[in-house]
Amino acid sequence: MASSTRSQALLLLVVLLPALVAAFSEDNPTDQRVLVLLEDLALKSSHSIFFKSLSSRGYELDFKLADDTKLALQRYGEYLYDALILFAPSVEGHLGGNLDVAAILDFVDSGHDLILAADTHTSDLIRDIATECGVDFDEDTEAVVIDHINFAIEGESDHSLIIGDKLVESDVILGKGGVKDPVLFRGIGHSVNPASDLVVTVLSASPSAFSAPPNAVLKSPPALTGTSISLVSLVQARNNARILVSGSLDLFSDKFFKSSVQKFGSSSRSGSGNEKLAVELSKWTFHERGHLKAVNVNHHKVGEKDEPSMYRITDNLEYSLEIYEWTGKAWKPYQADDVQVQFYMMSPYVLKTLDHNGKGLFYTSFQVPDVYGVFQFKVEYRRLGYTSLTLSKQIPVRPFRHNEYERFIKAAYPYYGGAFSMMTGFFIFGIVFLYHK
Amino acid sequence: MAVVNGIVLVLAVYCSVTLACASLHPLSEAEKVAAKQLFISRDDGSFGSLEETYQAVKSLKLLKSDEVDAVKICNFVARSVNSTCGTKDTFYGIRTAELLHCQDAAKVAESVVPTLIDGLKHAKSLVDLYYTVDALSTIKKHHWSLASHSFAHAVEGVLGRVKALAGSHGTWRFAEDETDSSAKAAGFAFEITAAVIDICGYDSHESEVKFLKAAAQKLIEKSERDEDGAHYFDEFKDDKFSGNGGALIVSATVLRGITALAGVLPDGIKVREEKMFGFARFFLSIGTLDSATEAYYQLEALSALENNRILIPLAVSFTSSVLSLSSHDKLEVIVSTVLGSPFPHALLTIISAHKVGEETAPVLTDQELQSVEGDHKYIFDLVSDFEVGKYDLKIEVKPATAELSYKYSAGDLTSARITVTGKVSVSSIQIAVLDSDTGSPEFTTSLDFSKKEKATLSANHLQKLRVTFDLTSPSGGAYTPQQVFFKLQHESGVEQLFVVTSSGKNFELSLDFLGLVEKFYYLSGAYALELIVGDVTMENSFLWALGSLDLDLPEAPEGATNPPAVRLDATKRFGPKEEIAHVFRQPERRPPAQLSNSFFVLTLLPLVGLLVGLSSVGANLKYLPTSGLPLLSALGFHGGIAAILILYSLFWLKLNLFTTLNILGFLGMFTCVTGYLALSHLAEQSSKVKTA
Repeated sequence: MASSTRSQALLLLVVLLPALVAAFSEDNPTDQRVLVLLEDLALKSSHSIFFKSLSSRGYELDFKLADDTKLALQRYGEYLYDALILFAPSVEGHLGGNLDVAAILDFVDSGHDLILAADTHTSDLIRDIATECGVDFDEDTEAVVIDHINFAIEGESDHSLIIGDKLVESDVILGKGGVKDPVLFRGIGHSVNPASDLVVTVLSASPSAFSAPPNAVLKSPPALTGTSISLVSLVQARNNARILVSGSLDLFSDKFFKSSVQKFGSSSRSGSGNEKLAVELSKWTFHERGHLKAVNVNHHKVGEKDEPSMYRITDNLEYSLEIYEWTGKAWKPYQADDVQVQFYMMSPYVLKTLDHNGKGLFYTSFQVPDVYGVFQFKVEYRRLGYTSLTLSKQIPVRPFRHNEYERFIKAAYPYYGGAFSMMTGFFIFGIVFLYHK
Repeated sequence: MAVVNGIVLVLAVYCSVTLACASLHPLSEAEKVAAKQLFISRDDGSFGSLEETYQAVKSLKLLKSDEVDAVKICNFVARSVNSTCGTKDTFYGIRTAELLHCQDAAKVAESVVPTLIDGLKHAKSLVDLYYTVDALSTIKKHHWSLASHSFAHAVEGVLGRVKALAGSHGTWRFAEDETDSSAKAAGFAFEITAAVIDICGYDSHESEVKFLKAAAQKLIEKSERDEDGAHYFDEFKDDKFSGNGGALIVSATVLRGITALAGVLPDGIKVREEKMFGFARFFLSIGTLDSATEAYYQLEALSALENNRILIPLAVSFTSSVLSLSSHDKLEVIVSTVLGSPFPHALLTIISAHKVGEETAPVLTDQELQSVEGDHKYIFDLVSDFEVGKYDLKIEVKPATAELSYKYSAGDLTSARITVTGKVSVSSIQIAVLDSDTGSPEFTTSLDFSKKEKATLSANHLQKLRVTFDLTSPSGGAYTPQQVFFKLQHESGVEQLFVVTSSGKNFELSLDFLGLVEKFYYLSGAYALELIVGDVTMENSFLWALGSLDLDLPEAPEGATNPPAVRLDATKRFGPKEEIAHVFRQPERRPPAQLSNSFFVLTLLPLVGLLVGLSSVGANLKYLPTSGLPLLSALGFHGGIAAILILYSLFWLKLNLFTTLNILGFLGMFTCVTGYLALSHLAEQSSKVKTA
């Protein structure tokens, strides 16, 4: 009895362990532990509103100095944290506990989230991490983003405290209604690969901005200018790990959260949108929004309930699945009019938009094409700010059986008539031929 | 080399000296607001315990906040302080009542005096002594007790006990059984001394006080100094007597003790100016605070710094470091104490003002700033002397009279960098398309800056584009902004940026398209032209859409680099795909039903013909055997044939090949046998007929 209890407990432990240490998991999406690496413990209080917002949403924040020698992301091969906030722009070489670029990237590669903030003096280590995530900071280490037209008068006289209002229009990234107030930014700019689908620039600079040392005399055009300067970017890796990269650490500070903003040349003051932006972006990064899961994928012939092992050409079928979105507390039915299913063999034969009932059920029906072979039901749902859903289910399609073709074709009646009249004739003629006298 | 080294050394020494006493900036409004938010009152008006309430009331008073409900707190104090509560609570209660001028203060005080005097004998640690003696001194100061004349007798011997706890180098032990001595304990010792002198005067304890004064001076010299010139006491250990340690609380306690002691000594305590500024710098640079207690200690220390008999450091701040020439801004300097109360009796002189980056003579020297009555500001009108640009100012701040300068100091010279901005005028903007070979203009257009006019141009790769304009500073001189960009943006989004260079006032950019075709990726089509001019000293930085250029470039040759990818709008990158519906194979065309039917009828016609023919020839069955085996075999034979024909029909309708062949086998055999019999009978008969 005792041994069975013990073995049960052991089994439970073995079952639970992966759930305890995994990154954002759909089975157990709450209880996220976040390692916060700071350059200076003063950041804990100067950025307290941001951290408070995280801990009030249920995150366990573990504050450590970035050069703490006891730092460890994993122990015995299991990760100790679900996410990492790296607020240590100028830490050189490697982080404490021999955490290097590779260790951080492994952490992200295993599906964990990362918030990375750079600043005017950003070390090669932080630049390397960002580069590996697809975000290239300006190579000039002295450069900051300067905008002589869109700057806040509260800032230094070098016009490096700029006002960003070119935000991506996406409710899932910025929350409902988006960020209306101008965002204060002081830091460095970066560029992202324009061809990449994984990186999204959330905040970009205005056309008059450029990235250069504040007092530099510009003899040649700066490497980064205008709207191609990204100030804050989001990356969603193929494994749905999310990364937030900001060129400004001050963007998250209490000072910027609470500061009022007056753009040069404008007489109106408004509150800054920094708090909303930072909080909403952290919600997105920690999967409180835009994380989808698909369940109950189902397909069957019209009028039936069970999933067949194969379809015949020209069968009518019904396909349905349920999609839910994580809201930070519960899975909520997802609503969208653009979920599509493909009936796919080498290329899509049928591509259809799914209807939905507003309660997460997406469904459609269509006729199997008159081509046989091994097909797939494919749902490839990629939308800005949402995790990508990629589902595929293989299903063979066979041609008609010999007895499934049409019988008694009207056009063949002359043939039938010919054959039967000949047979009857033969029978009668045979009798008459033999017995006629 | 040695000379260079010497200069570096001199500079280093100079810097370190200036750093030590360089000017201070007062506690900013934002920091005050942040500090205020740390104190949260409860429903009964208090802020928690008596200690927390005292700290909150004191801090909010120093912050000049009126968020304190005095009546409620007085009631709270009256309720909480009585003869049974500890010396600590009593002390904080009395102090709070003093701060708020509570009406019941005397009553409360009278009720605790016997306990306090009694407690004096049993006090084990410096902290207990401090609470008791200080509470007694407060009560005596306000004559809240009838027994206050007996306090002097009660505190006799206290200083002896304090002196007995002294450690080496100005530190103190908290209690007799302690071995470690600390600076924090010394702070308490100084305060006890100050309170004792308050109660019974300086004369009766001269030897002990002299010892303590020497210890205080020793301790002050022991303070640590960081690279920014801030002075502090670095003890991070907590103790069981007074709780939290940490540099902020320890330094604040020591400073409070020393200023209190200096306040009661007839000749004060001499502390070097550098030290006082160092402490001020430390408490002002503490940054964001975590707790109400920390905010209290910071404010308490700053208040000790602005209210002491040693030396009051003055802070110098500027209302704005950016001054606009066009709106006739004046340089405004505010001299205040560290907590921001204005100091109106100062003499300010601009020692020198240098334009940054230019090794020329100073723009001005030795100019006095005017004091503005009532505003507590000192102003200077820059307009006449300054051109747009950045300037380094050195300002000397001195108390107005010699008497004041014993009490106040603003440190060494105040350095400040100010930016003088103005409106730059833009004129003679001309865009021309030139012939590449002859250089003669083929098209020229002038634009008006004030109207932000636009031009429409066209050019090909054998032509040049020339953009010229003049920039003039407000004073009429040449002006070179940091950012002078000319941008061409192709309709596909590919951008080309050029820096426009100047000679004097004239800016000119010439683009020879023949040499630039590769840089332009051979992209023909419409280009939007933009001129961006900006600088920190320019008030009218602008981005001017100059119009469009229709550029005709040659076709890209084989192997030319492709234009870079242009970032699409993120919202447009993802989206639903177009629906695909499968096109089914169309069924083959069939003849209409009537045609099939009529042909069906036609196929039946030969049968009808046969039947008609047979009946017309008078077909009969006279040969049919009439009886016996021949009849049976004939019926069997024809029945077999009929059965085989029916089997064929059934095969067509439902049977499969195997059943059909099976049945056909039997039927065939049967038909064969019966056929043989029937036909042999017929043959016999016909041979009979022939022979007959």
